[in-house]
Amino acid sequence: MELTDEEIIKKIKTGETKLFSVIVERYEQKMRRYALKFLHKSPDDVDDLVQDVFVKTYTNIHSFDDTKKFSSWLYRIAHNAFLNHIRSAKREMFRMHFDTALPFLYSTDNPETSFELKKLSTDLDASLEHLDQKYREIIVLRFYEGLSYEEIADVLRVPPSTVGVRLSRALKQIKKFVI
Amino acid sequence: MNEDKKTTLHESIQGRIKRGELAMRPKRYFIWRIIGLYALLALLFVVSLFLISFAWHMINEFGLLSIVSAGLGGAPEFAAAFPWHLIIIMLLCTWVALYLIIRHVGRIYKIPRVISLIAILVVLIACAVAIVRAPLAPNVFYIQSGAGGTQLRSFDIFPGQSRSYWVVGDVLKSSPEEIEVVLQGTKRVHIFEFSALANPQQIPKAEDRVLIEYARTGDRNQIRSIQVIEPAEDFSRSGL
Repeated sequence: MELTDEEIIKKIKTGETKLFSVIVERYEQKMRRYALKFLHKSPDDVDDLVQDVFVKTYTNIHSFDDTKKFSSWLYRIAHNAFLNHIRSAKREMFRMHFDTALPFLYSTDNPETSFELKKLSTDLDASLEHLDQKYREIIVLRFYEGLSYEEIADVLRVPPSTVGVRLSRALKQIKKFVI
Repeated sequence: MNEDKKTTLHESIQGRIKRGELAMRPKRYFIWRIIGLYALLALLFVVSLFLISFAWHMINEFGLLSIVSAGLGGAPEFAAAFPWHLIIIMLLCTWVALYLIIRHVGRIYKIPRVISLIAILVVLIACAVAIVRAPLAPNVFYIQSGAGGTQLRSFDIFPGQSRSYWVVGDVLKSSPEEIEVVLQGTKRVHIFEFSALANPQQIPKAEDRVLIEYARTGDRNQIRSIQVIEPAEDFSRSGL
């Protein structure tokens, strides 16, 4: 029977470091895709970044709480690494996102169903580069990586209601580009 | 092509682990980091608490609230005397603490930032009010150097033209160097450098009731005069 991510991490912590290869194999493509779509770079440019994500994961593995979901933790590390990369390029130290400040209600109008998903999938790639960074990332995590609202909230460390609001605004921006 | 890259990354990381170039940080590193984080948060909390209680203390003791009650005319004076710098530093400390909490502590990030910030401020203000109400900090009125004439049992320390405020107090201790006055039965005031400004024989004695006249300049209160309030029976006796 195949071990879960969390079981593998437990074994790595106890010294079975070879098992880290399994983690790399399972997540390399996902991390690469996340980097490519979020950073909008060529495949060669993201190699070092993806490797850096796995290096940080390994060195900080003892800080992982075994009771939580490993994939969310890994995406969080990737998110931080990619943001640091963007900040170092832009010399941007700190940016406040006002949509995390106020409480929002979950929208009853699901942005994913109200929008034509088929059209969205074909136009998404073309639209991504036009989106703001925070909207681009949420689209990548939701549609390319298939994360739930709660998982995205854990990765970005924002309220789940903010995820819904950002997703809705991101789709509105995409609509503007494709129509 | 992708398969080659996957193998390369996988082998590269495994090779670095085998050669010892890549090592896990020990568990105690993270334990110390958490201890450091909580120590920093505690420090920020204490600093914020000190600043807000000190600001509250200034507002309360220097009568800033009475200026507000005087109406719009007192607004500029209130704005000038309000301890904005303390409030701004306190808010900065709170903001840094909130940022650290959101990044590192549990699932606080699921709560909207404004609500978290308000919750922290409410706790801080509640603690500050408790501290100010406790008899911990004596009130210090500063006296700037200046000459003044004297009247019988009254001391014009800092005459001036600006608006005066009055407060009644009871002298607790008295010496040529320092007078300690309890204001309106609750607050304590220490008045220093008294002997340089007045005849020592005219200094109020312990248990005297005094009327203190003061004026505000910036964030300081300057004492203009201290009048000893004679008991009513004393006047009737002198009349006889």
